[in-house]
Amino acid sequence: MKALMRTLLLVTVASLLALAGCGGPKGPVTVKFMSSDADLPAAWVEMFNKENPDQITIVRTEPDWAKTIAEAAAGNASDLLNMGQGTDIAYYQPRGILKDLTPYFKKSKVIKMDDIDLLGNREYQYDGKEFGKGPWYGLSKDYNNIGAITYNKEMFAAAGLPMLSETEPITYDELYELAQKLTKKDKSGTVTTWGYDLGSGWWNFLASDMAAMQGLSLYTDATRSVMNNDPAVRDIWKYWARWFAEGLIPNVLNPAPSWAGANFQSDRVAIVQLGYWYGAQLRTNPGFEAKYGWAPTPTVVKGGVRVTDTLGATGVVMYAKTKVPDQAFKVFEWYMGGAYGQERAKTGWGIPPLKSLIPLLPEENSFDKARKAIALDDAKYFQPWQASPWIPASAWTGAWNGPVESLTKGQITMDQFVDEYLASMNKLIADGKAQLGQ
Amino acid sequence: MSTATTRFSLERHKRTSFYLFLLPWIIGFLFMQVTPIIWGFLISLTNRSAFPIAVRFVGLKNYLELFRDKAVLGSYWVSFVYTIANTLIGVITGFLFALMLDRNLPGRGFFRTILYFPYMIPMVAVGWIFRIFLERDTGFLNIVLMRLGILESGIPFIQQSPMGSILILSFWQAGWSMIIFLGALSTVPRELYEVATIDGAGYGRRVRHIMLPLISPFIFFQLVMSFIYAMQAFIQPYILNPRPIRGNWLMTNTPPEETFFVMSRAYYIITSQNKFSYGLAMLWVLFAVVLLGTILFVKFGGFWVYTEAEERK
Repeated sequence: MKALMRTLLLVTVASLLALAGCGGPKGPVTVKFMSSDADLPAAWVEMFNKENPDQITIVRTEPDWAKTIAEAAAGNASDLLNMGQGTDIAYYQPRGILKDLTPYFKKSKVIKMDDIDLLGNREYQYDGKEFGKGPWYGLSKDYNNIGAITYNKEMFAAAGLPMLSETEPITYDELYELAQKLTKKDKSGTVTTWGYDLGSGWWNFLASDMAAMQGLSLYTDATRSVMNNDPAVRDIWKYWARWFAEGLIPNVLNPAPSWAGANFQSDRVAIVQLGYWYGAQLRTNPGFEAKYGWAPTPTVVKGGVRVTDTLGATGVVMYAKTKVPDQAFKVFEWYMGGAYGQERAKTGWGIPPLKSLIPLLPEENSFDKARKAIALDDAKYFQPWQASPWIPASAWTGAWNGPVESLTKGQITMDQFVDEYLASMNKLIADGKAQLGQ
Repeated sequence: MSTATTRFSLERHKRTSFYLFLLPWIIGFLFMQVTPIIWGFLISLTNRSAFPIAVRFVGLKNYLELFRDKAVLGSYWVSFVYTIANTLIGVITGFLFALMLDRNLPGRGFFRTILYFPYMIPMVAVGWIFRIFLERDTGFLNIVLMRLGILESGIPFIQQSPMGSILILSFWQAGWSMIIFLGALSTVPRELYEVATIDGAGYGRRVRHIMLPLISPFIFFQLVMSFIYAMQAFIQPYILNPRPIRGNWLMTNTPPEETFFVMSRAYYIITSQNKFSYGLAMLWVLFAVVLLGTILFVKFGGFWVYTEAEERK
């Protein structure tokens, strides 16, 4: 009996070893790509898979960083990851999520180092302290001047306001005055048309630009561990809070039906700061060329220093522990500079990551010409958002929401708002540092 | 072989079969439920973030911090308030529906189906339906009220009363309670009503002295279950969020403090702030609260819940 058991055990172990050592995978290797359908359409995935039947199969996974973090803890996150903001590289790099792609870039014939547009990709290069230096962890899928203004010319004309210059930026104070004039209320005081709106949480990025224009930092220290409480920086936060408190932007008392872009398209908002990409969406509106105008990112002082940013630019990174790095990089190349990358550039949803693809951007009409010219001009003044490496970008909005609503409802003063916001941010940053044992 | 030995062998065989049949469930329970629960508790005693870096044992630090965190304590409070309101609304509405539909009225089956139907719709879909229904400018409710001349301009219901907006779902989902009450009412012997009627008892007294005592076990069951489920409400605040939601903003744009339920905040703390161990500590405290609440229900339920079981002495 014992002999029989021993034989069975040996056979089992031998079989398992044989199975384990059956060589590499046969047939196509699967590359999991976490991305929204909009950024990785099924038709393009299908096309890629058909063209590479024996080598690589792309499987798109839903964008969900919470799930990705859980998968990464188990060592099996998607091979390629769509990253909402490139500045999050500073947060994820020390946490061991990202693969250094520099060796791949150096060898690539599709992504040549001297072809990478540094203006819009700086956030994907990070040396542990500064962006734009050290190893490359990915590329932006495309980038945008998120501070550029899009405005409704019909509303401006109706309010007797002159159209904006496409070359000379207005100031942030002028933007505020324009919004005041364009905001409309009914008899009951309910806002029917808002003067201005922007992406959720984007005030953090624009506040960073405003600080940079004045030579200020959002932090008191070089490691960006403590928020700057100096009066000049507090004034920047107050500037953005005032929009909410005065109802010039949709707020909790006067909510808009949807997000900024949709509200603007349905003539409920007069001015938005969304950037170049938004023009591609507006092209679906009839008469877009005559109806909508463009202006560069505002400045703090008239004719003064210009600083713009890309919000870090949405891009693609590779998971550090991917088991198929070579195949994943092939997909990365196809996505950034291959057939799909070229097609994306032609649609005008963003400035492509490679300089060689920029001429593909659409400019068949004055609308596209204007937004492209403004985007490329704004790009000259790009500076990475002053992100804190200790917290992800998504944490900022949570810290802002509570205090700004109390302010809007008149429960706290403007100074109390700034105190609460900075205190929440400092707590989050301290927690983030503690997570790394610092 | 003696009869006793045969019986013993059979008994042993039965017992073995019983445990063998149970084994797949026991294995699943141990690995899929007990292990993660224990793992979760152990993690809550560390400083672990979503990333396993510089992990160390911190004892009860996370638990002590919870009780100093005003925002977290606020979440427990709003969850509790929601639970009480949701339970009362659900049980009372369900009971009233059941009373109406317990009579021999024409179309009874149709109305039972209609009233139960919303309960079958997933909560996420229900949330979206109400978000669209209550919206200030494009919502059906405001449009109807304005067309009828009752309102001059739309009311931002979700923004003005986030908790009220979520509680409306409780009315809509009272079908579950109604079905249980309909079953409960059918267990009450009709003769008791007849006898009481002959003795001169009106409708109110029949309900109070016959119906309610006899269906009290069903009320008790619903109170306990509703308490357990409502304390764990999660997705409603995110969907009926007064702030704009679009794509992945749904889970990153936090709900307002007045509806930031414990589960919703724990999710946010774990996923957006990556404070894994702290979020798990929050959930363990929630578990303790739910357990304590259930024990209290069971302990005090004995005073008013009718039972035919004899008390053990």
